[in-house]
Amino acid sequence: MSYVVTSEKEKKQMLEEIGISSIEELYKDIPKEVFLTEPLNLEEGKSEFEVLAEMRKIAQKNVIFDSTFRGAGSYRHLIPEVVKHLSSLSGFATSYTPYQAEISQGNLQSIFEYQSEICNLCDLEVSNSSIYDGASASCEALVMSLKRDKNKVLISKAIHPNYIDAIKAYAFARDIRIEEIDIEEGLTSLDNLKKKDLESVSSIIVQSPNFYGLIEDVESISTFSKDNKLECVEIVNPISLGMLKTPGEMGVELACGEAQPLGLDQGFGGPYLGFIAASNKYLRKIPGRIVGQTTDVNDKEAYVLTLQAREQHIRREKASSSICSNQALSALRCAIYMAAMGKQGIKEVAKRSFNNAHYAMEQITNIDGFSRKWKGEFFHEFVIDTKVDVDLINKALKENNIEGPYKLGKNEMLVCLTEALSKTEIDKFIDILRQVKK
Amino acid sequence: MNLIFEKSIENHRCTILPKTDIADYKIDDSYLRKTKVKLPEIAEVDLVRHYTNLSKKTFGVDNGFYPLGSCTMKYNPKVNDSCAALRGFSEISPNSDEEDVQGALEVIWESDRSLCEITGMDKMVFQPGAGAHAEFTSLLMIKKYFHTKGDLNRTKIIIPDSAHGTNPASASMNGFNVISIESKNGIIDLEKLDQVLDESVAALMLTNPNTLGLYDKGILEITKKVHACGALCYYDGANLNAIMGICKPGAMGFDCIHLNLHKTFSTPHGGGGPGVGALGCKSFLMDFLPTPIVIKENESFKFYKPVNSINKVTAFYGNFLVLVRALSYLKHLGSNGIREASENAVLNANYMKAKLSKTFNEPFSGYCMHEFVLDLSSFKEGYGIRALDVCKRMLDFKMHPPTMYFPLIVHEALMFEPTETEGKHTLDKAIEVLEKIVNEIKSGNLDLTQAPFTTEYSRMDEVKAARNPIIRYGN
Repeated sequence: MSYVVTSEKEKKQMLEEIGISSIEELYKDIPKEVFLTEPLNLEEGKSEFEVLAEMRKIAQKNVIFDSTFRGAGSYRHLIPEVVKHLSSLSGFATSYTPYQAEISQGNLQSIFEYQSEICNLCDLEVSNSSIYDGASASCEALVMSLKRDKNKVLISKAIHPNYIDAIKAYAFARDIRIEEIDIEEGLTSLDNLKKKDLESVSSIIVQSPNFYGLIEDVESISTFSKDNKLECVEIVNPISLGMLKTPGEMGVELACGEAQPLGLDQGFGGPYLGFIAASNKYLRKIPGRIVGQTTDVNDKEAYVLTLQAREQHIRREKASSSICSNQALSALRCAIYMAAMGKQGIKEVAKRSFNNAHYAMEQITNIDGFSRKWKGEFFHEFVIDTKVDVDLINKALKENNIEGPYKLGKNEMLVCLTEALSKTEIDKFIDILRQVKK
Repeated sequence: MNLIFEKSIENHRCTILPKTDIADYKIDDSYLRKTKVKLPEIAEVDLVRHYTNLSKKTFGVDNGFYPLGSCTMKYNPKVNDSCAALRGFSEISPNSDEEDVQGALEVIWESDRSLCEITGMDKMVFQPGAGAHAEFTSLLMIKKYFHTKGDLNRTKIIIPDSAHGTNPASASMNGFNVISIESKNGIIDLEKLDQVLDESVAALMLTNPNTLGLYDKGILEITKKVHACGALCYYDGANLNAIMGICKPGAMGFDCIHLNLHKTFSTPHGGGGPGVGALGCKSFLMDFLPTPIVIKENESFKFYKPVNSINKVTAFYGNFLVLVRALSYLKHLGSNGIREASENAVLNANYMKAKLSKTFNEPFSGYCMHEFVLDLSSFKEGYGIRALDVCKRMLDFKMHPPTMYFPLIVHEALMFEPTETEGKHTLDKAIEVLEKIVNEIKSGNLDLTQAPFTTEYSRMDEVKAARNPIIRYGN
């Protein structure tokens, strides 16, 4: 079952050519003490039909909900079939990093197009070809933002808690000090920020829409950063940029985030896609692969991996990141999604998610015992305080094959709506909330 | 080929969302984007043609032989993709309740158990995005391990000069100083190792078999020496494809390890990713693993936070759908198939090496593991033809060249890794092509510095790309 092609007869010829009588002789350098004499304690190989049946059984132990009101960093959006189909074409799927540009123009051009689309969405000038996911991209952006001899970074408490965990891990690795900025009414507190000792601070990191779905006053934070010669990093949901003010418009020069909403399966958390977009001043600091336009020797327009002197295979211990394999196929898929949705579609997805969330918020807060925790403007997620236990609500929803909101506390939940929900589904959700209350 | 932006026509579009009965909600103008969203406007049929044509200009394992050394470009069974496409895997949220994703936890658990059996580790997690990310994470665990013990002086990581660039870069990301040691006959020089081992060393990072395709026969002595000075041994599993079912890194004395599931376990490379950086460790390091890990309790699976966890390196559980593919592969091969894969990877490499040694110089004679390196310095000196030129000429024969100029310790290096999924007939064809190219070099009838000759694109002006970088459309 190992996809070995060679027949026994051919193997014999090969052994003869090498001048040995068994494959085992090739392993003569392996010390006897560690050479296995017993087979691995694993099940025997199975046919692909049996494997598929077994995996189906495992997959069936997971619940696929008819509709979901849970987001918190992973979102169910509508994904056109053409996106799934095109991103699985075998040239794209089974190629390696495009080191041989002459036979990798398809891959290289698609990355160039991806970089262009991300820059356009963010209104920034530079994008790399991908980072593992939104959390790790935020960590890499943090590293990009560091200034010499200043090893402290201020991060908003309203950033996704998993991202904060990752930032703390990277910070421990690099001996960076992290100080959190308090929140006020669900938003990064400008008052608290202004009181911080900025002595050894390199940069400020905020997320908008933040973990609680609220739209941050990024403009003020980026102005404050500029006034104090700090870098400002914005973690942003790219789908929101179909509608909301872009990092570029708000004076942010370094943006990053999770591109899963742009056509990637939720897939239990991955593969997703971390993106980084920045102004030109970061061109030589951005980690990971970058594709650039050039010509071949016959003057034909073409694409190559470029500015590789930043990367680990050349700079080794002096590289700012060790990233090698990245999320190329996810980037391709997001690029196809962005083209499929197009200029109009991306606006519609953003606006409909916004509309659905605002409709639901109105309806929910009309129910006795349900209120919004904070009043700020939001994109497609918002926090509800309830008099009923969130567990009870989610149990009732689950009985109707609906995945309930993300539980923040016993009586506090983060509700998410995207364009994937219809009015009928939303109304049903509201009805259930109303009944749980009774 | 024209960019998708150049194919954009006003008001063309593909996807029409379903009708909605929800009215528009107002938002203050100050929140809104004023700049144009410059995404393409294109109809579905044109989109399909664009990407189908791009995919034809991309050479994958499905197109031909791909002996890219250290990358393990084996065939990617299609059943793996079918498994990953199951809705029960692809349409579940990482934020779902534990009870609703028991199947997903089972995938993680079962992969963990199987890969621990193959590697001799006690626990395996899959949160890092790829191999280099797992290196970074493991070294972070090692850093935290020594900090927790109050041993704050271990600031160095020893790495042989044959190592992948990711090793030193991952060490630096953790604030460690990199001590590079020179190899002797392609393997670790024990004397040199002794000279650098002391109480300031946190770990040795080693790939075994290494990037020259050599199994370090001194491995037990090496790990013993490292442990004797209180440091740990880290195994870069980039080359595990040589030794599965033959010997276990755990038994060699390694304390933690990473595997590239996108190499050894046949999930496709996707033009550069996504992979899975599987991270394994012995039990004494388990408390430091990224959170959460999956445990099994009374026939159900649970998430658990290790007490001294380094926290997280990605937001959720890593590239889960890639892991599903790897598990499908593991089940398909089973105990015997896994060993058979390694044995034949080694057989194929040795067959190619034996045949090519008649035409090319080998920096290291004797048997190799799953890959081997040729040194083309003599062609450069004698004929002015470089390893790069040979690679470019190979493109004319519709095969992907080997890795070139790596490892750094061989000057005109070509590194071949044929993998087990290629048949003798494919290897024979490649050998024939390489012999033909050598004849071309010697005859001088063809200027190989201009190769390739038959591909749609010729050599690239890389200097131009770097000097005046154009990295997006319309700038």
